Amino acid sequence: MRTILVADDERALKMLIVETLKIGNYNILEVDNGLDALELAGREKPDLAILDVMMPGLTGYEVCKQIKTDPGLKQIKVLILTAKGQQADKEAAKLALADYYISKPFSPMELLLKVEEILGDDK
Amino acid sequence: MKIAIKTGKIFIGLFLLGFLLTSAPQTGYAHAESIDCYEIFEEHGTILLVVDPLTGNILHVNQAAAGFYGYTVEQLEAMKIQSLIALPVGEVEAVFREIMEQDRHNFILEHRLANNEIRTVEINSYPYTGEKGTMLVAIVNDITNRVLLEKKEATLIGILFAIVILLLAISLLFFNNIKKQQKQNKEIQSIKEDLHLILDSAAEGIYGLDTDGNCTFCNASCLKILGYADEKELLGKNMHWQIHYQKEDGSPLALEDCHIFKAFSHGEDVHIEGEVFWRADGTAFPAAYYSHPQIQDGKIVGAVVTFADITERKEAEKELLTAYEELEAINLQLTEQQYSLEEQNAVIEELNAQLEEENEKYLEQRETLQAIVDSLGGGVVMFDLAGRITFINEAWKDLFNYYDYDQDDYLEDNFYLKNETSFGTELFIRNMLTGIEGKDEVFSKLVELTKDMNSRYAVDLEQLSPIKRFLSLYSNPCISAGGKVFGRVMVVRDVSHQKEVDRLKLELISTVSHELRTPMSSIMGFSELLLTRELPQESHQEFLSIINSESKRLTNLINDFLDIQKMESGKAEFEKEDNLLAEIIQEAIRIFGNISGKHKIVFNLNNNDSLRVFCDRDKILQVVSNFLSNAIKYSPAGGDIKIDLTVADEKAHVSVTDQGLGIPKEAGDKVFSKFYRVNNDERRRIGGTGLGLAISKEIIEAHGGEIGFTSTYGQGSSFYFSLPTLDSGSREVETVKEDFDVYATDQGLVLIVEDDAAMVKLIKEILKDENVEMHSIDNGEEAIQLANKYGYNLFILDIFLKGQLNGWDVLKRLKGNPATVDTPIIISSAYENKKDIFKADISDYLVKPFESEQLIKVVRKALNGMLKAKMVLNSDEQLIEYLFAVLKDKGIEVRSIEHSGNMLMITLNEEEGLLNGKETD
Repeated sequence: MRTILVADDERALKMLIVETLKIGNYNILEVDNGLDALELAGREKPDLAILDVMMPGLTGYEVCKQIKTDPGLKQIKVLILTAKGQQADKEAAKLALADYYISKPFSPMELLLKVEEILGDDK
Repeated sequence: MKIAIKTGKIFIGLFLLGFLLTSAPQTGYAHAESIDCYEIFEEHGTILLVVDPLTGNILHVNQAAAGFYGYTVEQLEAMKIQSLIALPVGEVEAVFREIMEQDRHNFILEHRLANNEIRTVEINSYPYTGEKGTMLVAIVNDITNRVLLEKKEATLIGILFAIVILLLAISLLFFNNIKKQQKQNKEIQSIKEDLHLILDSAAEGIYGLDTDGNCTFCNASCLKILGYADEKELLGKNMHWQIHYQKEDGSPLALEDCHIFKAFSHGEDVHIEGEVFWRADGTAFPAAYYSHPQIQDGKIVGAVVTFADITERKEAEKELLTAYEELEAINLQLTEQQYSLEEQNAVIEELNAQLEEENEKYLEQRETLQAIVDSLGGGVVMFDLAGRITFINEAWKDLFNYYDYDQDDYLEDNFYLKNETSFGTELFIRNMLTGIEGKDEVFSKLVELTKDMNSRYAVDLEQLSPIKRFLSLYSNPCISAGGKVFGRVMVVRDVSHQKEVDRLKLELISTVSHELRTPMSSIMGFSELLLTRELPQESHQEFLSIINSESKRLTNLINDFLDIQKMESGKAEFEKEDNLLAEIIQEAIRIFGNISGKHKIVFNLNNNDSLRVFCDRDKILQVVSNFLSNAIKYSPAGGDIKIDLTVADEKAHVSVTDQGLGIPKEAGDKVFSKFYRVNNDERRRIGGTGLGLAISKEIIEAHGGEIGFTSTYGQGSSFYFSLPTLDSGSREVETVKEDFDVYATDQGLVLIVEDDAAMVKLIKEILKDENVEMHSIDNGEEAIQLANKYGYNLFILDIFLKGQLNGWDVLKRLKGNPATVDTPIIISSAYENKKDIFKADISDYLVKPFESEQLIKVVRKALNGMLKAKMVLNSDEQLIEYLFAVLKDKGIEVRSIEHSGNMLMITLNEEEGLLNGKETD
């Protein structure tokens, strides 16, 4: 069973993501800030980390960057939630070495498919 | 022959003497030979003398001697030889001596004879040394004849010679003469030839005349011009009749009329042109001739005439004349042209003056432009076509004024401007780019540009040192109105502020975008889940509730955001009214009080229950709610929330104090900016739009109040705002008003001053039910008389009246009369001139045509007198407007409102309503 780390400071949104992922039968770890995300990632080494951009403390980008530059963590896939139409966000995601990004608002099904796609590659 | 004889004689003598001398011994005269010798001596015909050389004594002489000299021998032998010498006494001795000394043996002397005859003698003397010493034997030769003969001969010869010489001379002379003559002849010939040459080489015809007028000579030209082949044809002929016999027109020219003739007959020089000569062939030609008489010894011996064929000349003259005339014409033209040129010059001068003026204007404009360019706020540099800097404005210097000393010098001395080469330009650019990121690239580009007159270029630069700022640079070619490029301009601006603003905007957009999308995501997501998935009931409930709340959140956010944008752009509308502040606060408390059980809200009224403010109730409620909400949100642990309402300095202060998280000092006023949230772990959970305080700020400021906060981080914050108050204490509105709409008027006497009879009738008709008695008059003078006579309660005045006075004049009189000064006056006029009303102290001003209602109302008002209203008002403009509205509503017409120190004076109707009661500040 895959472990997915979800980091979002927006309760509703986080809940949405979690509920969506539950459908896919993943092990879900929730945090609501960047520091916790990093810590948990280091500890649990999830298969995927879904990070929102706007988070207090460390932003999603920073967390992603940290993960991706840490030799012990860089295998963790990172999916970043960006605001649609913000080119800067996409650029930043790339710069942060994110593997994927999905822009808000997104359809939960869309998210699910994406996750499957990401984790499916690793067979 | 004689010479021979003489010579012979001499020889004999000599022989004898020789013989004598050599053969004579010491005895003196040897007899034998001596006698012989002596005899010879005695008998000889030769004259002999023996002389003593020392004394000159004659020792011996012979007979011949005696005979010759005419003395006897004894006489002679007693004489000295000196006495024979025919010389002056003094000389004799000298000669003798001389002869002796010189030992001369042959000499010629002149001897005197006894008869005083003088004979020339030749003497040959021989010394003989005998017993008696040395003696001289002299042989004397009478050569007188010979001499004479010789003389004669000589003379003859001489004469002959002379003759010969003479002849020679003569012949020589003659010869010479001949030669000379020949030479002369030759010369003459040569001269003649030269003369001929000259004559013949002369272009003019020259001929000579004798006294008869016949030709004595003529030169080649003469022949040529006259058309004769040979001079023989002319020589000897009378020239007048040959060539000068006719005038041009064919009429004969008499000799007497011939100038030549006249001239040389009078011995005058004459020079004539204009006559004609006739050629051999009978044709004539115009001639110019000079005639000179030849005068010899005062007599006229002829004349020389030189003439020329002046046909060509005459033609030339004609042409000259024509040319001259043409030139005259041209000259005239030129003079005219000159005049016109002068005129043009004057015009040009004028134009010049105009140009000067325009130049000045241009310079002014240029200065203005310069000033404008200087004040553009951008640094402007201009380059010419060669890439040299031609202009640097002040702003540029200001932008880059941190340069070191040298650079300042460069700028001060306009070093760059004086620089003839591109070096100055490059240096300039390099200096400008000091401390700028990527300057090398930009440098190359800019230097390239100074040589490029076509490209446009713009670049944003970040400067890191010595100042951190952002610069925007653009450079375009300068194109004149005619489309010609005349240089390049470069403009540099400090856009740091702009960049900051842009950055903030971007940030805002990003934030807003995020803030909007987040709730949207939830709404979308959960609703999708609900639609596509089989979910348990509680999930349904939960999800729907989330959807609901997120929708609300979104809505709030959008509303707030729009609100604030509106407020910021000044487009928000506030419905301001009189409100009780305490009441608003209580409402807020009511809303939020129940939300949190953890907090205790305490409201300290401080006896300000009746504190009123002029405000938009809902908006102020929003502010208070915001404060309260924040207080609650940001003290998650609970605690007291204190609300204080106080009054100070004519302002109402409201503060909301919590015991919550507090705000760090660094946040400062940023707290009131959009979406600002202090970032830390505790706050991340706290929701809200982030716009609350920003909106509150806008609202309070729009009400003329102030907003702020104090806080101790970790202990709590106190947010406050203030609003200007309506001074409730002194707000007494004593309105003594009479509702004249309801009550009818009292009986009144009205004077209608109106020149239009129809109008009078109309007014009377309208007011017939008003319980007034009306008089009417059509002119001002009588109106005043009437006014003095009756006590009117009201005047209705038209402006245009019959007679001298108009309505205003009447008004003045009425106001000037104590009896009528307080009587209300209504002006009814065809013209609007409301301005004058207030000054004129009138009740009302009606503009014809007016409605009956209007008139009635106005009359009633007037007759019902003044309104006493006292109000002290705030100087708030809006309050004033409010007042207007209020009063108007109550039927009170406000004429004007004026400030007067702390008091507001409201003029109502026609009386100034002085506000008594409390005066406020």
